[in-house]
Amino acid sequence: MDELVKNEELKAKRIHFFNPLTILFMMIGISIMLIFANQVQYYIFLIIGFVTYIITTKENIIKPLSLIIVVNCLLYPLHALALNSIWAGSIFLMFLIFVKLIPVFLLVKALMDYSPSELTSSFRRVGIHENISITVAIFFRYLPEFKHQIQEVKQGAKIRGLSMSPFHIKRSFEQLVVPLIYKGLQISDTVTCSIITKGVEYPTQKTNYRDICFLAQDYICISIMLIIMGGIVWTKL
Amino acid sequence: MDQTLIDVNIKRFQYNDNEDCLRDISLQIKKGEFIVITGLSGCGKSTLIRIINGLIPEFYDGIVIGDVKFKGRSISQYKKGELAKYMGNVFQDPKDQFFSTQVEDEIALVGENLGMNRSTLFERVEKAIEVLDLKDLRDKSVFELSGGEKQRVAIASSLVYDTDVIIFDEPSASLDYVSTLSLKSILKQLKEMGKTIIIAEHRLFYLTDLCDRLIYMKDKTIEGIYNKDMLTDELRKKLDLRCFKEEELKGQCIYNKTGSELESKGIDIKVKDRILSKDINFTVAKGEIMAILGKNGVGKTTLSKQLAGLLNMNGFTSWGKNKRERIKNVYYVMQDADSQIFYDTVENEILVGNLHKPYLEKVKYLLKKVDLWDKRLNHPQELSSGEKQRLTVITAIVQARKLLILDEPTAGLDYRRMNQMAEIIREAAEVMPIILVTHDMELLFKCASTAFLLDCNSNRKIHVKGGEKEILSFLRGKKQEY
Repeated sequence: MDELVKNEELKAKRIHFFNPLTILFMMIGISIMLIFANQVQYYIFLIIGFVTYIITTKENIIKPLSLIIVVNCLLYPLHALALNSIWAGSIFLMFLIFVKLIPVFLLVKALMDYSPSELTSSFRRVGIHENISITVAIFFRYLPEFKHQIQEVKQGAKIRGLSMSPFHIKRSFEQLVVPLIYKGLQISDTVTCSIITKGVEYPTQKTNYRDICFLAQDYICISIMLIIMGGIVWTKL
Repeated sequence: MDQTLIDVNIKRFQYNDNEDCLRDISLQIKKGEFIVITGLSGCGKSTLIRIINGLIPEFYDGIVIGDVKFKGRSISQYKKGELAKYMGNVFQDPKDQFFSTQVEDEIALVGENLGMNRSTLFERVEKAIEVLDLKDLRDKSVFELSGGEKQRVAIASSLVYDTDVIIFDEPSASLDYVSTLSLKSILKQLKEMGKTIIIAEHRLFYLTDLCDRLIYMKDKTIEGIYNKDMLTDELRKKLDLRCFKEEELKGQCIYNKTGSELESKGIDIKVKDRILSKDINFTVAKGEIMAILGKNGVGKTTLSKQLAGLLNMNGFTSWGKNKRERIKNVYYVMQDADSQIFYDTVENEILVGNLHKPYLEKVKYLLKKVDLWDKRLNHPQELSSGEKQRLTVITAIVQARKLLILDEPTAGLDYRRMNQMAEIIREAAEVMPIILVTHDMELLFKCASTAFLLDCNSNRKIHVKGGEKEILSFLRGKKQEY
């Protein structure tokens, strides 16, 4: 009985619905498939991305949904404009790439919701090398931090009277990037010191605090993804 | 029984630039001892800490002549990462030191890395959470925590493996007054648990009751070791240290209004849709340095950004009707100096192309005043954090806008640098009114003439001189004591 209670407890340590590897698999799969996908297939990916995002982050549905609707509505009038000049055409192309990548962005956002420990633990279970798993985990861990730093630097520039402007792309880019690089170096120093002193290099079989295995939902999701990918490849053959 | 736990014998240490960073260090630390290492910036405190916790040579390259023994064994004989079993570390920056984003995961990380049995790990994490009273925070993201809470999480993670030694590197640098006091009580608890504690720190008032020995470092070596009962005010003055007892600090600036007043009325502090404080009204005049005081999370930085025109707000300010006007008339020095540095040399950073003679003279005076004259051709991002802070403050001062807002200009500064900062702030107040957001009690009493006590329910402005007790009891969260 005690053992049972303990097992229940261990299972309860899982926070999210999906294994992060499932989302990572979807992300890679969709990124590749988007190259070949037609419009209907794109919308299928969009729905997959959106549903995964909502299930994982449990965030308010309105913001991402309205973004998707607005950009899709803008697509047609912009397309009409794009035919008029090369300049408008290139802007339209950039916009199109952004719209096309929305399913991937949604999945990246979903992955950002995972704690790095969940990521490393799921990687460990399938035998991915520690160096890779830590690098990936740190990448997703510091994405929100990066966003925050961009805001800080923008505010700093505003105070100095150095506003970022699309007409001075080189200058604006330099203004933003130089402080960000230095800040990035500083953060990476601190976090490396911190994890070294927490024994990350200790040669042993690591324990998983969170038990992130593949559950039924992961197998179903991966199967659906494989079928869709197979279908797309089939139609292109 | 005297039991030496850590035995440091370092003849010399150099990073890769052929300059001695430590010399002739001999220090024996006993089990259960509470050691505070202090000294002016650049004295070698942090290097000594890095030698003890093994980051040198594991992460920082350098030439070490000498040895550090832990439990009688040279630390170079321990396996990679093994020291984590015996030493916990709490770093200065509470936010960036976390690998995980969730409190519970971060606490468990040491156990995971060292391959602790899973059910033992669960028990230990529970215990650590209990000891540091983190029950309500366990499922939270580390981004949502205050500075003090983050430090508690960092300490909790060192309890998972029940390490003998806990090493702190300036743990109070970004903590407010009340969090620093609560850090003190946690340290007391750890000391009672028999932990050996080593702290490198400038702010000493919260440590004097607890410390067994104070190690004073100067010029890369240990200059003196003092027992608790030797910590007198004479010694503090002789060594140029920060105050031992904050209750004895006295306001030094008299309210001296020398020009017309700037006014702000009916401001609400708003973060997203949440109102943190309502209807804030105050006036501030030339010659006045007004400190804004309040607990972490009460919205001091948000208010500063609103006043500086960086964020939207309601209410009225006499220095600008809208965001654009405010940003033109106010200079706000951010907490994080790095985000405000954009040019390729220190000199260009402050000159910004202005080569008028009086301006150049002023810049020269200020650079000399803050010891940056010799570094004027260096890249500003490569300065130390203290130097960057000084640079951003003097850059703000030469602009001479209608209002200057300084957000934590002395976090992590030693006594001498803090004094220097207080001096330039006081000089700048003769030209423009200054709003000072700070947790640094010594800076506050040294240069602020008035204090705006920011609370969720009632805000009020008082004079610092004569109002010392009221300020301290406000910051401790108590009702007025007299």
